[in-house]
Amino acid sequence: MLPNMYYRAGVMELGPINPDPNSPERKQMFELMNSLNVPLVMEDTNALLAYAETQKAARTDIIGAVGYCMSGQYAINAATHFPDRVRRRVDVRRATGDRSRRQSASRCRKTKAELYFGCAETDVYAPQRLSTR
Amino acid sequence: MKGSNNEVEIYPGTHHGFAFPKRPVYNRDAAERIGTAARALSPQPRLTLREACRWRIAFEFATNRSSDADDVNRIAVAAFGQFRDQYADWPAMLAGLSKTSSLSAAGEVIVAAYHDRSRAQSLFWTDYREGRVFRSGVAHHSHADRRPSRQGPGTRAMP
Repeated sequence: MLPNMYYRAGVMELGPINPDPNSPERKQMFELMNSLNVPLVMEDTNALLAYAETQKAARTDIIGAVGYCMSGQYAINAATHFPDRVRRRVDVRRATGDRSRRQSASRCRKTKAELYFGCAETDVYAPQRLSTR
Repeated sequence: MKGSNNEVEIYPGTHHGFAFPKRPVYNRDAAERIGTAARALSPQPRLTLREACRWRIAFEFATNRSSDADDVNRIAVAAFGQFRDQYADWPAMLAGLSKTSSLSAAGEVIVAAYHDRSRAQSLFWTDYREGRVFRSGVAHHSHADRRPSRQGPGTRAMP
């Protein structure tokens, strides 16, 4: 399942993102990213799991999650908010220094999931001291 | 993150966004390793995430296609043949190994290779009944490096 993270803002498709950090597309992307928080996304996750339970083809007693970049923190939180169901999680990491993200790392202690973090060696958003903490 | 079952891996020489093919910083080898780990997110996992990131899956064997069966058997013999002097009855062991592909009757045989493609290949066997993974042996790539020439039911080439 691949949710539209930005449905609240009525955004269905961002399109190509200009790599220039000052481009309007990138500014919009960051605005949308910053409009989300863990409680909102976990609310969405709960709805996704409820939908999956209505699907015969879906197995919902154990779940895997993949998060790239900003979604990594949400995959971690899915593993901690639904600890009996999320068993495996892959995170291609963007770890920022703010408080809510630091809490994501500390929450890892509460999950039963097998966790794998794949990190870029050079990442302006995730210095290695954060990745390895 | 003490107290959790986790692993953190730094991919040397990569930059933020390395897993996305359309980005200038795309790093194919690193992205494929991440992809292998993501594919291991199966309800009945065949490899642990740690294993999956070290190996790329060369091919999976779950049917009786004779060409793949021969390769599976050959890799198994090569893997264990390195230790033939350690077996009291190597001919008997060899006879059993020569039928390794028959394991597919009860599970799935995966031939995996190290990502650097220069080291080794290994057989993994998943028993459908127990959902367990058994690593059955490691052979050098010179004995084993192959990919199926075409796709078929039960046999999938994976990047």
